[in-house]
Amino acid sequence: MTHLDKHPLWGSNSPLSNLSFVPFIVCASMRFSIALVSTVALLWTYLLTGFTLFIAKGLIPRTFKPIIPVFLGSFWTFVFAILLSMFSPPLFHELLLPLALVPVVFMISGLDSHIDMDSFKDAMNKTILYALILGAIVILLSLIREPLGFGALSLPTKEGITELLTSDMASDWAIQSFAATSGGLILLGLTVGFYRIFKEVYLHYRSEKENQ
Amino acid sequence: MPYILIFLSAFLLFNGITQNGFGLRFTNMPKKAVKPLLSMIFSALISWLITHYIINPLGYGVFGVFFIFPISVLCSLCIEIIGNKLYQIPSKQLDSSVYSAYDGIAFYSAFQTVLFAHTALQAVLFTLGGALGFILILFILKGIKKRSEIEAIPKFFKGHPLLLVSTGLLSLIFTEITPFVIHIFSR
Repeated sequence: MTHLDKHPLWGSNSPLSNLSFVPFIVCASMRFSIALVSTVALLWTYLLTGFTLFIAKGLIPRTFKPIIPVFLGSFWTFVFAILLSMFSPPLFHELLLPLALVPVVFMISGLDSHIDMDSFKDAMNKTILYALILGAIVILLSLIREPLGFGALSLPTKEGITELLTSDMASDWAIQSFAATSGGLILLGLTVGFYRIFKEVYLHYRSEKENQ
Repeated sequence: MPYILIFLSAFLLFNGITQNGFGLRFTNMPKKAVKPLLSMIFSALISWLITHYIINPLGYGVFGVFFIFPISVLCSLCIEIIGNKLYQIPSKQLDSSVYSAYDGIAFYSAFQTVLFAHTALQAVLFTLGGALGFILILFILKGIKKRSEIEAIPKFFKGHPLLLVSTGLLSLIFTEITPFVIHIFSR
């Protein structure tokens, strides 16, 4: 059970169990295009911060160990933001808050302490897995929120957020609250409820398997 | 009148909990929200000063927001150390959430202030409005949580799911109230 407690999806620090991830999930899942770019930003920042921390772990003085990941995470997100603004300035402006929150979620995930103890391969695998799980949750929620909230599906392009699959009728049946924070929080609440049901089923299946 | 409008819009609209769900963890323990609250105020004011007088003149423009998180963490660390000294807690027992600026609460307050405040007075009003709004929502959510304990709620929706749905509904109410407030005070 303790092994499962550290699991990136079913554990106590999973994005659906820990309330600290809520702000990032809510603001990044507003639109599909925002969710896609946020996932890439997550992967970029997690991977490069993890890599840099692993390489420099012997050089960092003990007193500064908890604070260095804050600066590294912010630096790599800053680099990603510069690259994104070179690709598409309007897209960068739409993504300002989710991008600024990426180093915050890196610190919340507690990966910096894992990197200290694991081997290089384990540390990098864990980093990618954590980023992918959070990214997948954000993308899945955006696939519900955007079509229901805007009546469209958007993709990130050089011109900014480009809407696909939309029509003149879309604005008539779209429920704007779904795309707003309130809809995001309500939907996330329901998702967490269903996640708990699945978790219990999974735990029951696991314990039965172990007994056999 | 414009200053009241700034204060109220920060109180209602630029509220970390209703706008993005920051600090929901503290609804279980509002007494522990004192340090995050002080960090919100301190980091917003320090970030505004640093951005306004150092980062902006250097020409970083909108990229300056990426400096806010490290500044917020340093401010939160200062508040935590001072708080521990006052309560005589050993300095080694730092709350681990300090390094995420108390789950991003201090960061968000600073982010909003840096983006929307143009003068020092506006920055102070934004910060205080946001902080007071944060306290108000914490107490409303605590009340809802207390009430939910005596109501018949499915087992799987007790706790976090119910808290998220309640916050979503509160966010909807606050978002709808804001245009009325703006209309009243801008006349």
